[in-house]
Amino acid sequence: MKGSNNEVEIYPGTHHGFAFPKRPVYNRDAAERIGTAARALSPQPRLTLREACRWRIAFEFATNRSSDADDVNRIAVAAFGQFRDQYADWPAMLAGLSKTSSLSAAGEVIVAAYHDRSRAQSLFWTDYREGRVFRSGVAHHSHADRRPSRQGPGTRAMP
Amino acid sequence: MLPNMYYRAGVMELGPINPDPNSPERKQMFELMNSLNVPLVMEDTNALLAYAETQKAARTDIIGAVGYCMSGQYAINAATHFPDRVRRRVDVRRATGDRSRRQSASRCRKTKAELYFGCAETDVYAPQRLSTR
Repeated sequence: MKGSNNEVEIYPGTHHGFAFPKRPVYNRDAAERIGTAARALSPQPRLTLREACRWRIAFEFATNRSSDADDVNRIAVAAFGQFRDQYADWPAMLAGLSKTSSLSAAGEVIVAAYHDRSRAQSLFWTDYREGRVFRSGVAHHSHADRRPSRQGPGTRAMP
Repeated sequence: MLPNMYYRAGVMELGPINPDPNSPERKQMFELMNSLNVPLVMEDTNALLAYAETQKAARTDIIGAVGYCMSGQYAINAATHFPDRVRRRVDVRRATGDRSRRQSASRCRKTKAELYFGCAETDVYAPQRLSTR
């Protein structure tokens, strides 16, 4: 399919019909990845389909709930803190990162995790005004793995 | 939007499909599947989009499509028949070897849509040589 913007992915160990929960061949991990890609079919896509299939969305943050804001800030600090020696003024950078949740005033912050749940989490930020996605950093799951304890306006846990 | 693909046959609900390939339910399913073709489904797709345009909540200038199994070929064709509107498409693939399905793959060159194909490793309906072609 040269000339098109496409990707073909083979899901190891799966059989025809793996995405359907009521079938004996149902494969939850593979089905969830497909589901994530399907949810990325948004008029204002937050992730590319390629990204969506590699990441599950752990939670989305679009309001000022303080508990989620703290987590967003902590993940951002962990992601960039790995490279603190590379910054001329890390304290200034740290101060900015500690306010990452404030990006939600102009867009939606998505915390995503690799599907194998053992590698990393990442922050994505969608600017509502431009419809663009900015990946802001990747932190190991030990710094960041969480899900909201309850559902609330603007915050949705996704499988 | 989730269309009833088999309204022409007056079928509203197939119900549970017995996995036995010789079961009456499965035979009926294949008969219904084989009663469709790309022109018929694109005609339906056009009607669906026309309806969506009358709905305030719907955005119809750009469209995404998802196709599982037999519907994968129709999602591909929606992307090629409406190339300025269908921007993203996810296909959980059943690629068969007959001519019309092979044409679906070749039509992908004509679309502007971002395409993603998720394929089972073992699929009697879609050997890997077809999935990766």
